[in-house]
Amino acid sequence: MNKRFQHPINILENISGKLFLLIIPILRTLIYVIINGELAGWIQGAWLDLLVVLVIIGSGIYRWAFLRYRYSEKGLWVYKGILCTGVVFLPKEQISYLSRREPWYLRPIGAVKLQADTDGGGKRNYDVSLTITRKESVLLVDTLFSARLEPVEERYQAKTGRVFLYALLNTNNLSGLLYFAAGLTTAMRIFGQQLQDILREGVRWIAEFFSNSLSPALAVLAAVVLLFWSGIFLAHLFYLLRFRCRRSQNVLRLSCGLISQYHTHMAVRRIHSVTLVESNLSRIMGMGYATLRCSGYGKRDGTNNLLVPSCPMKELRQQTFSLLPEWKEVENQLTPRRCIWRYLGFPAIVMGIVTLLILIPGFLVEGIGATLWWVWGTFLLPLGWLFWLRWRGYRHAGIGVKEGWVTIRTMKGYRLTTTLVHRDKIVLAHLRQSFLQKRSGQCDLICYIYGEGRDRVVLAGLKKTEAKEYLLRLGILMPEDE
Amino acid sequence: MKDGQSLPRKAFLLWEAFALLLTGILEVLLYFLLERWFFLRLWTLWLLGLAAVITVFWYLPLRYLNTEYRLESHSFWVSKGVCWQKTVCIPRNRVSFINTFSDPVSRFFKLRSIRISAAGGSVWLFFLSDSEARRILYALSPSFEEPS
Repeated sequence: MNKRFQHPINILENISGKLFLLIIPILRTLIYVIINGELAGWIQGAWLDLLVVLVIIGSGIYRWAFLRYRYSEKGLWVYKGILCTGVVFLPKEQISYLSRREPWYLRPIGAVKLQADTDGGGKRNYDVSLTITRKESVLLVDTLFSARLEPVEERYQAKTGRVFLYALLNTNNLSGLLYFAAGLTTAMRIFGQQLQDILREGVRWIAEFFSNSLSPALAVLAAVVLLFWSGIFLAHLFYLLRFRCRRSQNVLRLSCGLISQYHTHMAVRRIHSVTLVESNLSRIMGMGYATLRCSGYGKRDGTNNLLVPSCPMKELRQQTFSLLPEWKEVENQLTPRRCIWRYLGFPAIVMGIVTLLILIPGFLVEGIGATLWWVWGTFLLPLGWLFWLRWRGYRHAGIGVKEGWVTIRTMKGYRLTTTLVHRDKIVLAHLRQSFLQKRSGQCDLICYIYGEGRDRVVLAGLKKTEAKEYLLRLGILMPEDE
Repeated sequence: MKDGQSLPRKAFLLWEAFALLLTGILEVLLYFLLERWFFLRLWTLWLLGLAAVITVFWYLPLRYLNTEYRLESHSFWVSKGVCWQKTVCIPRNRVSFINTFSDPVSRFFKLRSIRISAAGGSVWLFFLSDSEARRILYALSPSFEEPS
């Protein structure tokens, strides 16, 4: 097969970050000048700016012209450069992840972004990222993964309501703030005074609206945070709508997206672990979701390792194991015992400290008792919640193994997790003891799972002798290692 | 490393030539940029010269001598380092993907650099001979094909 070029739109992608800041003001000026008939004078004055724009466009064309690719049943090659040349070769059997992303702005021109990833390479960037035509991307995926040639064995389509619930419970507020701050800054550069006036008017209106009940500053802050959160929630929702999975023999295919579409293919044998998660809020509804770890999946923004969105737990297990029948979940065979302090100690200590900090000023200073009790109640709510979750985590935690498949149940932050991993994918097991645990003969078991970046599961409060025997039985610890 | 292979001598000569060339360019630049400050210029040029002598006569020869590699039936070993020697072993069945690089100078001398990536990281070998690079590439990734 001959080497091929990427889609010509890649030229604009190469220069988008730099050109965007220059091209809009230049176009605005050009339109104004053409209307007023002063083109020659404008070119005479702005020739340097135009030269810079041409150099930037030239660099984009250069990068496009000297990156080519080809593929066959053996793998994918990417050829870069003309003077300093490089070749990247991804063998077919090492490719764990192939995705075709069709952003809304590329769909009309028939272009898709293709990413390929293996277990090697960086944990933030894909090993290969190309912009090619839609037809070519389908051929490439078919050649490397033979996905469409294999019969579909299992299908799952997430209901819209469940996708909505998942997006609602899992939208990250901070990333919304950063995302919209960047967008707002760029918009203000383009639209200048007009946008500033609109924003000022909006802020004034919000402050007036809440002036009777809330402090205006807090009202504006709350409105800003809510606005940013809403924006990222909608983006998240549109990304996940029409979420569906299909399992062919060796390939798991996930598709989602309403306006921009995303198609992901993963080699099943390269899935490192599957995690069933119950978050603090979803647990109230008896629901959870499933994620999986595979090299390349979830690199887009670090949050989308989704396998099955919000479901009742029983149905979640059914769907997960119908898509991945070779994976097994097993009951706990080893659980933390007599270490409730390990789980409840932190929230109990913090609650005690907060109570003392409230009580002491309350006794010493008169007249502020009511306010202090209100503050105490505000702190107690999340701490009480954490206390209850930690108690649930203590009852939930444990480890079990069956036919080489290890199930580790633990807590991560405010979430209860059940991680399924094959014994061969556990690359390191670490028994950690604090000085308090040494006295009581307890430890935390930390299992590191194979994959890009660090992925570890911590199971706290096991008896050290029991944990060692268990690791010996698993075959992770060798007798001579003791 | 026992039975390890070293880089070709051309690699060492290229490193030395590049170090000397870079030193020369920096010396000329500093000579003209620091024209107004005589003593500062003197000290800077002397220090740069000293750094060049250490690099050319101590660091680069040691680096060349300490860089070794070995291709075994199940693994690939690379050992390098001057003050701290690092030895990396990559099982052959764990190699994820490979890169090769060349520039006009290394192409003139028929040299090539390769990078072997696995799940835990990657290892570079600079300025291998063409034939040796091809041997290693095909051994670690049998499906690899040379660009036409």
